[in-house]
Amino acid sequence: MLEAIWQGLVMATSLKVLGLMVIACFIGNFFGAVPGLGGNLALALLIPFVFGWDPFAGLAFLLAIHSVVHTGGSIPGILFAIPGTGPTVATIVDGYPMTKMGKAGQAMGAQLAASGLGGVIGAFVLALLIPVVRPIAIAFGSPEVFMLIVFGMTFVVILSRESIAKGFMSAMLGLLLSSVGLNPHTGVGRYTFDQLWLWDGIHIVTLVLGLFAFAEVIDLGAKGRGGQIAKGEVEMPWYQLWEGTVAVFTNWWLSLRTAIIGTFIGIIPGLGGDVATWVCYGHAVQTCKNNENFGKGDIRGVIAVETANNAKEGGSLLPTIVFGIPGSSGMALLLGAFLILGITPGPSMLSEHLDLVWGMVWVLVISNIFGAISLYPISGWMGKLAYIRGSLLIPPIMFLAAIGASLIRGHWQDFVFVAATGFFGFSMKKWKYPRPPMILGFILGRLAEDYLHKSLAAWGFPFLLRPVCFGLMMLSIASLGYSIWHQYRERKKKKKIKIVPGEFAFTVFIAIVFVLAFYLSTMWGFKSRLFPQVVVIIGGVISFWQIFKMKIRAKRLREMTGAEDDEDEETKKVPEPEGGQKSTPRSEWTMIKWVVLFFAVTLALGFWVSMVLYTALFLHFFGKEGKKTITIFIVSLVAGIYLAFETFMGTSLYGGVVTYLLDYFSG
Amino acid sequence: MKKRVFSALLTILIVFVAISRVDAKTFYEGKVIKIIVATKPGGGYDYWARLIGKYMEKHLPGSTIIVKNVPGAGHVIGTNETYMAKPDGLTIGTFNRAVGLTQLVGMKGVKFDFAKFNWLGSPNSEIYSYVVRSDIFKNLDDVLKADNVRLATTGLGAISYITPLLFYQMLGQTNYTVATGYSGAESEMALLRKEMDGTWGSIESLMAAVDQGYARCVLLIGKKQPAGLENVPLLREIVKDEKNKTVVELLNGLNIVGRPFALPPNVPADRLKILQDAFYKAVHDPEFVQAIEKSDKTVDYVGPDEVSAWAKSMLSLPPETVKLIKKAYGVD
Repeated sequence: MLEAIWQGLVMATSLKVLGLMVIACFIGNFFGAVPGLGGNLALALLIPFVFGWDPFAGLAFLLAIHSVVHTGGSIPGILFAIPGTGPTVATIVDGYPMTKMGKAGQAMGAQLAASGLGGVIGAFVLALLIPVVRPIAIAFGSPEVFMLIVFGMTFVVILSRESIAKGFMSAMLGLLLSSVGLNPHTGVGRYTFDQLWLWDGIHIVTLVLGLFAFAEVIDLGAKGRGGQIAKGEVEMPWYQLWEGTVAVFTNWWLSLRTAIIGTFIGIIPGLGGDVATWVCYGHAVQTCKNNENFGKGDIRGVIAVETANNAKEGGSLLPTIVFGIPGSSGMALLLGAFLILGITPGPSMLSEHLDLVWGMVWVLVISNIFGAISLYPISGWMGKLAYIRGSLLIPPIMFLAAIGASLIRGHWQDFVFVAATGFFGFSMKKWKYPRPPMILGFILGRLAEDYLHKSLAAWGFPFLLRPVCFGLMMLSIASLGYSIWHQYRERKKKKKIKIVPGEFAFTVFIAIVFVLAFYLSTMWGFKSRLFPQVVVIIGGVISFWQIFKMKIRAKRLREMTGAEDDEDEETKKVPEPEGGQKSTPRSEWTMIKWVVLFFAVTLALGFWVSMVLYTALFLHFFGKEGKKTITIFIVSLVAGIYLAFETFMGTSLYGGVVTYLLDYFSG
Repeated sequence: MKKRVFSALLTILIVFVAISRVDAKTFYEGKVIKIIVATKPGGGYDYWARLIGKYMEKHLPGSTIIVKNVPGAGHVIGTNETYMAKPDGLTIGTFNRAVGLTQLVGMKGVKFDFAKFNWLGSPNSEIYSYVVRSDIFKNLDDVLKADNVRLATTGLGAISYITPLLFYQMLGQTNYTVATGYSGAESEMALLRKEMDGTWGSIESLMAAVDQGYARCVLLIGKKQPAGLENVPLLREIVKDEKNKTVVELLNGLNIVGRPFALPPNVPADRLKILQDAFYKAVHDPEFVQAIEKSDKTVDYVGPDEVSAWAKSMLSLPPETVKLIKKAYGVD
C-alpha cells in the first residue's frame, strides 16, 4: 500500500507530467470560465490528441482538465452572475452579492482556496473510501437516491427567508420547468408545444443565464451610465484575495464537512455536481450560526459550494475506477480515454494497478492546487472589472451570456428562452421572489421524478421501508420541521413586508402560469401528468393564497393609514448593497427597452452584425461614449469573440433570421 | 492602441482568407466539410465521427473536416439538419441507426425521409446482447422460465426498449416488466445492485459487466458471436419461424449497420463517389483501425449499398410489426 502511494507520487511528479498538468489547468479553467463550452467539450476535443501518448501522461492531462473546470467556471459567476458551468450556479447566490458589496476579491480568494482545498480533500477521501465503495454504491439504489433528493428539496424552506409562500411558489415553478421535455417513462412530450428543441427540456445554464445574468444586467443598467457593479472605489484586490483565502481555513470545519458531503454525493452515479453543490449550500445555511446574510453575500456560502464541486470530482472517480461504471457524462468520456490509453478500469485495477490509482489521486491533488494558484494573478486583475462603468460592461456581458446560451446545446431558440427568463428573473428580484428555490426545484425535479419511477418499477411502494431509505425519510422530515420552526422564530422578529407596486400583477401572472400548466397537463396520461399536476396544484393554491393575502393587506393598509406613505421611508433605510446611482422605475424601464432591443437586433441580424450595430447604438446613446472609444471597443469585442469561439473552438455563431431568409431566396 | 487594433484586424483578415481559400484542382481541395453528430460532444457517435473525420481529411487532400454537434430529441434534430442541409456534398451526418423508426411511426417533428438519404456506409457493426444478473440466471432457458424479469431500459423509443418488446412478442411471452430511465451505465449499476434483473445493450459496453462476473450474457443479435461468448445463442437460432422473419431481419439490420454516415438527397453523384471512396479508405486506414481497436472496439465496414437497402427495408415493415413499434414509442 505504502509503496503504491509512493509510486503514484513519483509518477505524478515527473517533470513531463507536471508540465502537462500546468497546460491542462489553463485549458480546463478556460473551458470552465466561458459559458457554453464546459468540461465535456474540452475532453471531447482533446481526447484524439492523447492517442499514442504514454498512458499515465495522457491520463494525468485529461484528469487535470476535468478536475479544474469548475475552478475557472466560478469566476464569471462571481463577477457578472454568468455561470460558466452547471455546478457553479450556486456560487452566484452569495458570490455575486459579495462583488456588489465591493468584496469581489474576497469572494474569488475564497472560491479559489475552497476549490483547491475541496479538490484535495476529495482526492484523499476518495483514497480512504476505496475499500468501502462497493457496499456504499450497492446500498444506494434508486429508492435511497430518491430520498436523498427529497432531503435536498427540504432546503427550499431555508432558502426562502423573505417569505416561505414566495419561496414555495418559486420552487414549484422550478419543478414545473424541470418537467418540460420528452418524458422517457411515457414518451409523452410535456410542454414541448411540438418544438424539437424542447424535447430534451431546458438546460440549467440557460435558465440561470436568464434568471441571474440578464436580470442583473437590467439592474446594473438601471443605475445609469455611471453605475458600476461594485460599490466603492477601485482598490487593489490583493489583500481581499488573501482575506478570502484565510476565510476558507478559519471556517475549516465547514470546508471539511462540505468537501466530504460533496465527495459522497459524487460517488453515487447519476446525481452529479448540481445536486452536490446545492445540498452543501443548504447544509451550510442550515447549520451555520448567524445565517441571516446567506444569499446577500455571506462568504461561507461561496466556501460551501466551491469545496463541494471540486471534491465531488474525486468521488465520481470512484465508481469509474472500481466498477468501470462512469458516474457522470464527463467520467464516461474519461473512461473512454482510459481505454484508448490502454488502461482498463474495473476491480482488477485495484489489485493490479494500485499505483495507477494513487497516481490519479496525486494528479487530483496537484491539479486542484495548480488550478487554483494559476488563477490568483488573473483574479486580482479580473476583480477590477467590477468597478468599470456599467455602460462599458453591459454589452460584453450580454453577448457572452447570449452566445453561451445559444451554444450550450446548439439551439438558437435557447437564446429566446434566455430573454424570457431574463425579464422573469428581473421581476422576481424586484418583487422579492427568491430565485435559488427555483433553481433547486429545477435541478432536483427531474431527478426526483426519474428515481421515483425507477423505485416503483423495482419494488413498488414498499421501497419506502428499505432501511437506508427510511432513515433518509426521517432525516428529511426532521430537516423540514427544523427549517420551518427556525423560519417561524425568525419571522417573529421581522416587520411586515409591504406591497411594492406591480407585485400584485406579477403574482397574478404566476398564478395564471400555474392554471395554464394545469390545463395543458390534462391532455396526458396518468403517469405523465401525475408529477406536473401535483406541482401545479401546490403552486396554484399557494399563489391564490398569496393573492388573497395581498388583497386583505392592501385593504387593511388603506383603512389604517389613509393616504400616508411613510412606509416608503422604511424601505429606503435598508442598505442596498449596490454601487453607483440609485435606480428608479423610469431608469429600469429605459434599460428594459435596451435589453429588448438587444434581443430583437440579435435575433434578426445575428450575433456578428448585432455586435457592431447594437454595441455602437448602446455606447453612443446610453453610454454617451466618443467615436474613438466606440470603435476600439467594438473591434476588440468582435476580435475577442471571434478568436475565442470561431478560431479556437471551431463553432459558428447564430447568424440571425436574415441568413435563413437569404438561404430561402437564393434557393 | 492603434497598433493593437491593426493587429487584431490583420488576424481576422488572415483567418478569413485561410477559410475561404478556393482552389480548383479537385472540388474538395480547400473546402470545409462538416460532419453533423446528432449527440452532444463525447460518447460513441462523437468519437467515431471525429476519428473518421481525421482520416477522411487525410484521404481528401486539401480539405478540412469539422465536427458539429447537433444534439437533441433522440437524434431527430441532427438527422433533420443533415437531411435539410444544402446538397453540395459538404455536409455529412451521423446518427442513431434506429432514428428511421421515428419516421415509420409518424413521430411529430420528423422532417426526413430515411429512404432518400445518400449513404457513405457504416464503419462498424454492433452486436446487441441480452445481459442478465448472473446470480439468478444461468442461461436463456432460466430467463424465459422466470416469473418476471425486470428490465432496465433507457426509455420509450430507445433500442434497448424496442428490442425486448419485439423479442418477447415473437416468443408470445409476457413474463417481463420494463423499467425506464436507465441511461448509459446506470443499467449496469442497477444489475450490480440487484435493482433490476436484466438489460439489453451493445455487447461492447456490457462486456465489462460480464467480465466482472455479476452479469451474464444469454442472447446475442448480430452477424456472429464475439470472442469469449461463442456458446451464447444468436437471435436467428432462437426464433426460426417464418412469420417472425421480418422482425428478426429488422433487429439484425438494426445492429449490422452500426453507425450510419449519410448525406442529404440530391448530392451530385461525382462528389458522393469521392466521399464514399474517402470514407472507405479512412475506415480501412491501418492507423484508424489501430486507434479503434485500442479502445476495445472493432472496425467492420458496411458499404453504402447495404446500408441503403437496409434503410429502405426499415420503412416497409408489415403492419403488425409497425403497430408494436408504435407502442414502443408511445405513439398510437
